[in-house]
Amino acid sequence: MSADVMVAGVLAGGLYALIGLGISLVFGVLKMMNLMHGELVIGGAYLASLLVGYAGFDPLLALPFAMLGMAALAYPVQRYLLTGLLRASPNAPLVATFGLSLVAQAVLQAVFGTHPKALNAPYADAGFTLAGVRIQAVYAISFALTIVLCGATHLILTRTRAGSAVRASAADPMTASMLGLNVGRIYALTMAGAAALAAAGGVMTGVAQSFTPTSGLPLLLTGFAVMALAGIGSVGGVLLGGITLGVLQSISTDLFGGGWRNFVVYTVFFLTLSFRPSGLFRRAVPA
Amino acid sequence: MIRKSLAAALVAVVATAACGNNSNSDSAAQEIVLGASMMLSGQVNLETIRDGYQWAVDEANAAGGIDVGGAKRTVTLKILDNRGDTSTMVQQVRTLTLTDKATALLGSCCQQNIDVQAQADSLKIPLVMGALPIELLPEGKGYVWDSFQSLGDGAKGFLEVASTAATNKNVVIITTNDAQGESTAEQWKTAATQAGFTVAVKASEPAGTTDYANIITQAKSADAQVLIAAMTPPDCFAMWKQMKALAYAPNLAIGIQCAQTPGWTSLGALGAGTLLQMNWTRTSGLPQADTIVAKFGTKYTNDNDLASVAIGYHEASILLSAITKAGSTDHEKINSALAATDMSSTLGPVKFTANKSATPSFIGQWNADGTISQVWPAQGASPLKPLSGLS
Repeated sequence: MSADVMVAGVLAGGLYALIGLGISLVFGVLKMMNLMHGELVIGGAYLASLLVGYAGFDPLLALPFAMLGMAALAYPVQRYLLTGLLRASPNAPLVATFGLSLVAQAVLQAVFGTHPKALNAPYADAGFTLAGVRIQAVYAISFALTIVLCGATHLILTRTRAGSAVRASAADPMTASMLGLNVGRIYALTMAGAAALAAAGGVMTGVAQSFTPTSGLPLLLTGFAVMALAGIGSVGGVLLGGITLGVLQSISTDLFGGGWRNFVVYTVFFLTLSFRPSGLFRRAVPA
Repeated sequence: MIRKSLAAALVAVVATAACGNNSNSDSAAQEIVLGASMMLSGQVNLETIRDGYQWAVDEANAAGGIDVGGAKRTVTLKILDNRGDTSTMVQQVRTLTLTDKATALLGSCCQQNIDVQAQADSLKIPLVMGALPIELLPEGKGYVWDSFQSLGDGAKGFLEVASTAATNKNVVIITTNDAQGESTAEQWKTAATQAGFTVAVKASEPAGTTDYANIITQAKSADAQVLIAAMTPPDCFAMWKQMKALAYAPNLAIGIQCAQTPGWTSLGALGAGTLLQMNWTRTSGLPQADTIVAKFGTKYTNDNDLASVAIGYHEASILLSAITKAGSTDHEKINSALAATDMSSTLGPVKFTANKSATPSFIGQWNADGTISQVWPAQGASPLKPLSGLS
């Protein structure tokens, strides 16, 4: 296997980690499987496309606005819909988020149409050579962004009062509530944070690849695979999980051809779930 | 007395209802229903083909309906959205045929047309489709008719164009790994070899692949200067960006299926110079090409979309003509009339052999301004430009 291919796998893994980080955060704190995560990712890409298309923003400049926008959309959904459902039944949000994902797809189709879109930027198709290895600039930027956002998430969760509140709510919401924490608000802020991270992944996906209103599902599956490899509640593990997924894809494609890529990846996914349900990297960096 | 009055009232009600039903039945019998289960939401939106269907039906109704056995009968188009879901499509085709009593069916698009074919054959209802290259239509029970371009003709056209360009004739072929992709790969590999090209790299990837580094590395090593890609649009988007970033610059590239979307313009300058196989262009000289531009050119500015309108009109015209020729709404008679079709419509001449009729193919090239120029065949063509997007 050439170094080019291996490095491409590692860097693509960074983008996978960015997509998986939000899913892992929501599941770790809310114990809720968010099936609309793919649409949060794609929603971020579409929000950025408005700023890129109409205001002439560079996608990286549009990125924080897309993150804020998706966070603002996700907060009330969690605060006034999903948390209530979560308290009524742990399974209800699963159905609700699935329904919301379908609604989001329909809205995106109605507003933006079904043709694929991409976010243009000078670095979208640029590359550079480092130590003889050809590197795609956008994936290098995504990788760096993922490290920054993983680091920020880790620091917020472990070094701030807000992070302590989130971890307390995750560990025992009832006790946290009795101690005066507004668990509903913490849940909503967590979802908003996850949506912001998803939007960041969406913007970079839009620059590196393309997106349509129905692109969310494969991204959701990618996120789940990363989460399974990483283990719940491990921010550093998510980064390693994403990289593992990217490298696995590259190795399997190189060894067995593209037709076996998903087979290899999801076999590892199921083996991990079966034999190490806590994830491959659970102890790496506990949140 | 009361019993007699009630009985009389009951008889009157039943008789009225029966008369009403007869009236509806007559009305229904006068109407020709054309049905279609197609993708109008989800990953693909075929509203362009639907507009073509509607145009043909509106035109027929504006003339007082179509002549069926000496009587003018209006045509109703009943289209259901299956969102690309096969089980929904199966249910809808059954409903259109058995409940709505559709006279005949019109097609969807692409791979889904193969699934629709099986349903039409099992229900023994005539179905006219396009948007599926004729080589990909499986052998069925004879109720499905495909009038569309041939992959072979497209390959021949591209290779003629490629022969005139300065390349080393080394080719990389990459397709999706589904049945359509594998079939396309074999067709193009054979055609390329026969035309004196060398297929240096041949690869197939699942739809949804985003990392093509291994194939790009192989193509660079093999110095493949001609790229043939038959993939979904998002996959091509990812690969085109990766090719540029990894400094792979073929001299010529065609995006079969993937470059045939108006969304290709989202690639900006990167997409300029890419070739695509087309079934229609505004400079093609095909019947009613100018009318299509005049009628739909404002709604759809891109030739790809207008080509889909042409497909819809073409299919519906073939079917309406066959119903008139059959002089009946009987499925078997319409099917026999379809077999004897000899006409010309928006995609060109139609004459079926083994339920297939090849329409002309064209090779187009994306310009930097998001328009498409026909570069093959010579009639109506502009000169080939360099593949500037990947250089």
